[in-house]
Amino acid sequence: MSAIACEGLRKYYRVKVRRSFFNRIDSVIKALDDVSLEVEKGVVFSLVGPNGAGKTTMVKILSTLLIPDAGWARVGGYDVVKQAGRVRRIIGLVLAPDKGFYTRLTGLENLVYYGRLYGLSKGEATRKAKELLELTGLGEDGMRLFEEYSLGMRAKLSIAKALINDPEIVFLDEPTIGLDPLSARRIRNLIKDLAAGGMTVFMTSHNMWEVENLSNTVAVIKSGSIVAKGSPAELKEKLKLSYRVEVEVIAESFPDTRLPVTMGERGYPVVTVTTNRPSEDLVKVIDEMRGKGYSIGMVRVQEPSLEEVLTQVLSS
Amino acid sequence: MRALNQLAGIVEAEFKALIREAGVFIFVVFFPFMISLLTYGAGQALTGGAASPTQWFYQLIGFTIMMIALTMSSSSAWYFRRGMMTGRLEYILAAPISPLTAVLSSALTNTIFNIAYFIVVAAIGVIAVYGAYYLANILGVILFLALALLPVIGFNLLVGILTIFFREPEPVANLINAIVSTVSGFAYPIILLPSFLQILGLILPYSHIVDGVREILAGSFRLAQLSPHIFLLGYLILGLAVFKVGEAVYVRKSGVHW
Repeated sequence: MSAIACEGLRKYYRVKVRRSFFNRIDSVIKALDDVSLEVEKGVVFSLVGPNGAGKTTMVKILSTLLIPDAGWARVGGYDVVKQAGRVRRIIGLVLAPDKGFYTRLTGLENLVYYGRLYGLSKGEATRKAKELLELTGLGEDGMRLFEEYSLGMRAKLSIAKALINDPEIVFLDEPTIGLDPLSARRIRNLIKDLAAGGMTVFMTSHNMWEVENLSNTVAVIKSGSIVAKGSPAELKEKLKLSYRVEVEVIAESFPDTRLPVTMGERGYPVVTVTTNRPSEDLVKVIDEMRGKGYSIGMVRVQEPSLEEVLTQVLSS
Repeated sequence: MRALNQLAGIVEAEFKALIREAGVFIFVVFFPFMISLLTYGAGQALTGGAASPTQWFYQLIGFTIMMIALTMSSSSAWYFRRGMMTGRLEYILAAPISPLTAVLSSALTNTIFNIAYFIVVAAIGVIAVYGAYYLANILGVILFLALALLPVIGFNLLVGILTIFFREPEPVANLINAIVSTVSGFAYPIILLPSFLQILGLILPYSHIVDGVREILAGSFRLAQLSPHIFLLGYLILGLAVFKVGEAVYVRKSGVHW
């Protein structure tokens, strides 16, 4: 059984568009349009796409906050509409890393509050909250008021909040948005640890490097529809994106070759080849340069990034 | 058991958050003294010094109950909007808790906070006018308010559901507060009002509350005077019923999963 499954999900928003002060017309925004997907247990699944593509709507439907107009979705085997109560017991949710807390309560008090929303006794909630403060690296900062927290600390507290009920599945909507590199890295490590512990993580992010490094599966959503899905490697393979092979030649001047050459950072010429067969072409370039009597300096093979995948998918 | 844990958790968190807003507490304590002293001073000036301390006390208690009425209506009106702005509402809805439990817990917090606030103001007023001997009457008021504020919780559930549909809490709260302040006999006996406003004042719970509190503090309250409050509990039943119907309608209209 998969952790999350949905089929034919549709959600349209009816909005009023003002054309002038007295003239407004009804309009429909297709937030989700016939979305079907499946997420295996214990994986990190990322939903990526431009702003307004439907990512947050998807998270809100799966976390039982919104009712779809059509289609069905199951989380942990439970229907998100008919068995919302059961779904709510087994999920954790982060919608905005810096929101949802009482500013005049400490981090610990906020976590205890959320623990009690899930029906824990005060003792249980406090024990669990302290455990999570340690896990997220907040430790003693848990005794400080939330209003004194930095954005990074707030994000960590959000993750702790999402784990207060020992969920099987967590939904993280842009968990590292606005964080400095160090804080973002800590959150990423935490997500990795959660998945390693068997939890299913469903996340959205605009940070493609992060998505590529964390996710087992990535789905690209555009205008409410899933347009590509697979592991980061599969997506690159499917799109036949090119590798970039760079060979630095130890020479005073540009080598005599028909391949493209640029001046490298270390002051030596660099032969650059864009190819779908990086291993073969790398050997060819090295052989050619050696054949002409040049010594080889640094060699670099650059994989296509997920960002390139996204750019290609979204622009097609 | 789970619902009790949820209720206790919300009450504890909201109460802590409220009492840490020291400015709010100072303001609500200060407000009835300021206004009642102002009206007392005006009374003195108009009557050539004939206003008595008991008349000041009448006003003090009236304005204190008015403050309770206003803060409870405004809190209910702002409950959903504030929840949306702070992001707490979505997390409550995504947790296995009934929204009604959450709203009632919040209302209960306000009730406890307001009773605590009343004790502070009334104690000062009682000592100043009647002497410390009468402080024991405050215990009676606490018990009375614990019963008499239940219809107010029901009334404010109606206010809360109104703001879900009208979206803007400010006009709803202002309108309710203006009506309640005018017809509830906080500053003057409602008998001075035109008859239709008197009827409105008698239908709403506040004139009964303010009269009851004044009489308990003066030591002239009789148990028979509780009977209107039993009828006023209908507000609680009505509030709960309308809230349940309202949330069903809202879910159907908005597609938000309640």
